[in-house]
Parts: sequence; structure tokens; C-alpha cells
Amino acid sequence: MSKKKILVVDDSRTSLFLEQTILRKGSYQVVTALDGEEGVRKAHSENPDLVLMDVVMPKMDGFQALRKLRQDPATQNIPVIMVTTRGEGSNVETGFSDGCNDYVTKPVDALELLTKIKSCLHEA
Amino acid sequence: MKPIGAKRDYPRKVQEDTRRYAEHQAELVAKLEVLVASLDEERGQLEAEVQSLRAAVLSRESERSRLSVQMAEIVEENKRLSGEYVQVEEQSSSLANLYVASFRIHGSLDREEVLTAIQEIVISIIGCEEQAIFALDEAAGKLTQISSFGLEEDRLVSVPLGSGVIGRTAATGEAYIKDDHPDEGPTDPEEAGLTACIPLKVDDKVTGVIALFTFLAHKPGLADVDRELFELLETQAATALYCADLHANAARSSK
Repeated sequence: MSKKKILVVDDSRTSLFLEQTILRKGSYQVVTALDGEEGVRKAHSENPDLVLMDVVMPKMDGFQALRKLRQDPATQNIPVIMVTTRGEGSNVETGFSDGCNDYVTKPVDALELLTKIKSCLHEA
Repeated sequence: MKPIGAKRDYPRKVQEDTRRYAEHQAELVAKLEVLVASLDEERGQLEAEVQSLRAAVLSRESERSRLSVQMAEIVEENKRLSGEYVQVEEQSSSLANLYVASFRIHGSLDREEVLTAIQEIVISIIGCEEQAIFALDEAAGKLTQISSFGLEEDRLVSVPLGSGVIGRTAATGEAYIKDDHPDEGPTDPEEAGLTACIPLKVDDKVTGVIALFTFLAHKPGLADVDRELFELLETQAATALYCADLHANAARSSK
């Protein structure tokens, strides 16, 4: 069985590397993007099974990128988990109203992240 | 009036009827005795069956008790193994955090890149979006801010050595963690919200300080791995910055 592919979008190389380390331990194939624009492009070209999207990023933030993905029939059904430093209501509400499937807060808890990914990919 | 012959036959007839009645009764009694014997036999069988069923019920109840004990043991074992699994996962996660932090700090010889890596570690792995990094200028007796995130631009630009928690951390080389000193909080308004202050050391010599202010609201508190990250930053971040400076000097000299 081929590994599921996850696109991680984050401008922080430390977050990218940490999330990559966690996801590889969970046996996922990982592709990365450093901002929202690149994230949207790679969602098209890489056709990932799931996107892990940071919120605060240069060029295009995570919410804008999420809306782009949801407007495009080619990417509208890809599950998206938002990664945010803000766990408070308004931030989470914006994510859900824009169509994200779930969210995790930084610092990312490996077990929580893998559990949410499995749930979104119906692997649980 | 009855004839004389009929009068004579009457007692015989009664005698005959009585005899037949007695015979019939004897037959009935015999049948009843057979029936009673059969019922007795059946009752015996049923009693044996009831006894056997009672024994079976007792055996099942004992089996059920044994299985209940076994089930409780399995549940307990499962709970223990789940706890161990979570513990192993937490250890693995902590190691991943330390590995990533170390990898990032030493991933570049560019000073700005090293400072960015330190900032990102403090934000993304420790969970603090208000921070400042200071370099110690021993000759001038002060700490100079070389990088900050989430703080006002003019806040804590320079701190005299030994002044406030930040200055004392540089002077003593001892890390300050608010949780460990609840009664010794910062008194300087510029240091309001200071949660931790980590000295940067190369070969036990203080070269600077990282000051961490308010942590992210959803972070429940400092975990063991955060303290391990503080220790890692204390030596590894200082060494990486020192190497970056040496590299820059060497590059300048070679030009």
C-alpha cells in the first residue's frame, strides 16, 4: 500500500522540519511549501491526501490559501488541518467557516497531530 | 309384588356386583400403583437433572468469576500498556523536539539564520511569542538586544549587567524560571511578564541571554521537555552564534 502524501505549508523552517519529523514517523510521505502561494501551487501539482496549513505566513496567509483550495474543484475535497499559535475561538471559527477540517495549536503535540490526521484520512 | 325367585336372586346379584366392584377397584389401585411408581421414577430423574443443572450453574458461576478476575487483570494490563505507550510517545516527541532544535541551531553559519532558528524554536517548540535575545558586552558592562519577537521595538534595547532578572542572569550564569521562583518575580516594569531567562554560555562563559515573556495562552505550563530545551539553548545556541561570528570574521579576513 502506497504511503499517503501530506503537504505541509509553513514559513518557519523549524516548524516544517518538526512536522516533517513527526509525519515521517507516522509513515507519511511529506512535501513542503514555505508560504500560502506555494502551498496552493503544490496542492495542484502534488495532489496530496491532506494539507497541514500554518495560519500566519508571508505572501498569502493560511486562511486565504484555504479559501483558494476550497474554491477550486481540483482541490476542494482535500482535507485541511490548520496549524495555529492561537487556539482561541475567533481564529478557530474563521478556519472552520473557511472550510478547514480540523486544527492543531503550536507547539504541536505529535500524538494529537497524528490522531487528527488519521481521523481526517479515515484511518482511525 | 315380586316373585319368590327374584327375591332369592337379589343377594347373589349384590354379592356379584360387590365382587366386580372390588375387582375393578383392585385394578384401579394396581394401575395407580404403577402410575405412582412411574412418577416416582420420573421425579427421581428430574431431581437428578436439577442437581446436575445446579452443579452446572455453580460451575458456570465459578467460571464467570474466574473470567471476571481475568478481565479485570486484562483491563489493568491494558491501562498499564496504554500509559507506557503514551509515555514512550511523549519521550519520542521530546526527543524529536530536541533533535529538531539542535539540527536547526547548527544548520547554518549565518548569524541571522541562527537567530531566526532560535526565535522559531522558542515560538514553535516552546510556545512563546514574546522574546528577546541579548549579547553580552563585557567591556561596556551591558547586554545589547540583538533580536526580538513580539515586543515593542524600544523595549529592553539595552540592559546593564546585573540589573533586573535579565542582567542578573547574565551576571550569575544561572537560568531564571518563574515557576521555580514564584516569589522572586521581576520588579522592573520593562521585564513585566518575564517567564524565563536563559543564559547563553560557551565553555561556561556567559555570552548573552534569551528572555522569554508571556507564553501562548493555551500552553498549560512548562513541561520537562521545555526545561531540556532551555538547557540545549543555553549551550548549543551560544555555540552556534559564536561559530557564526567566527565564520563571519574568517570570511572578512579572507577578503
